[in-house]
Amino acid sequence: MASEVRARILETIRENFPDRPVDRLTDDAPLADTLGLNSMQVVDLVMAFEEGFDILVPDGELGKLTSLRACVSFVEQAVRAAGSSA
Amino acid sequence: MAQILSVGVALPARVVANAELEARLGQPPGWVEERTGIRTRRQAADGELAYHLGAAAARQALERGGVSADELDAIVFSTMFCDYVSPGSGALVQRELGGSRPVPAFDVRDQCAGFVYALSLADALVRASRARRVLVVSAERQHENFLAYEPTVPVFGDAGAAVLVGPSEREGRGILAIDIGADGRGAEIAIAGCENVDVFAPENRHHPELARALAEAAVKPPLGPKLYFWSGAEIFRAAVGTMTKSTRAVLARVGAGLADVDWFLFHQANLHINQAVVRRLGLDPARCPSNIERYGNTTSASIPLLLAELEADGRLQPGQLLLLSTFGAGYAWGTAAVRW
Repeated sequence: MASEVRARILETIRENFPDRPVDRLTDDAPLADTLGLNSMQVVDLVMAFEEGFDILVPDGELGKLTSLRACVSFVEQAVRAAGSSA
Repeated sequence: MAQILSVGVALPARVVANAELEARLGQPPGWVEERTGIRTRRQAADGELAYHLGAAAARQALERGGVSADELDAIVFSTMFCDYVSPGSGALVQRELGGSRPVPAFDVRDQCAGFVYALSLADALVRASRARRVLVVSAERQHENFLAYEPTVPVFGDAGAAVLVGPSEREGRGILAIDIGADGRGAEIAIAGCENVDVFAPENRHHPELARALAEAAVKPPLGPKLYFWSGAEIFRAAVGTMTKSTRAVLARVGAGLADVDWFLFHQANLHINQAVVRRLGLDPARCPSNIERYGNTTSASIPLLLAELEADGRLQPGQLLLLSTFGAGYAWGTAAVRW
């Protein structure tokens, strides 16, 4: 599932911020700095993840989504949790 | 049906550019615009209070509407920071206008949603035939209230705006639907203290995220009336989600689609919030005018200020469908569909 989630996350970034250098994003590169996103735009992106994966990112988790790896890991867990509770 | 008959504005003369504030905050050039989209804002002069700006805007709205102060039936004043704790500014505007009849004048306190809340009251008064001419006056002198917490310093500007509301003069024209709402669970996410109560003291905190947000922002309680604190991430999410939902709800109520709207007038709080709303709704940015770059966030005056600009430069045409939507502290929000 990881590669599928990863691909969808990258696609979501491209859709929402088409002018940003998504190709430069490695798993552990700092997400905001690499893409040139300010704090509001990072929240905007997280909201797009929420909509795209039908998950909820608690406010307290926002600050932890600092890299592609962290995003993939969080989304995978959230999707799994949503699936098991459904 | 009720209709907006005319619009007026009053802006303080002093223009404050980002450079002045960036120098004061020790931030590099471009810091403010990158975060907010704002380049300049107006600041009221010493002694120039919100009700002065409101009264000046009201006079303009009356003049443009061809109505005298004597013909008014009610004044609804909206603001975030009152000029005086008592009395409300509605009565002060009434005095300034000099009408000969003692009409009802009262204040609405719903921050950035204040204008749409006040408009909904004016709409209700007219629809119920309790009034034929109602002034909605939205004015803010607020820049001093944002000096203590760095992220808020460059955001807010001072302004006054007013609309005159009366019975619709043409079939199908006017205020078609309004959605106003509040969700007090977000009440502490954008908040200012007061002289008597430290709203940030542990015993007064109710929002589970407030302590974390305060810690992240390195803000140290106690926080007084001159410290307006917000947690930007929470506000952003709530604003984008609510404005998107409320816009869809109001359009559904009037049987219109997004494509039927000629102008979307979104509250000018932060350029990034509005860009996110526009993208989620799939709107053409050209139909979503913006003036935040020049005036900053003028809180309750924001939407009528934008309305006045569209009218002044000829973009507003009779028969066009407008969608006004705002979200702010409270949380409180308001959305209105208006056939111009």
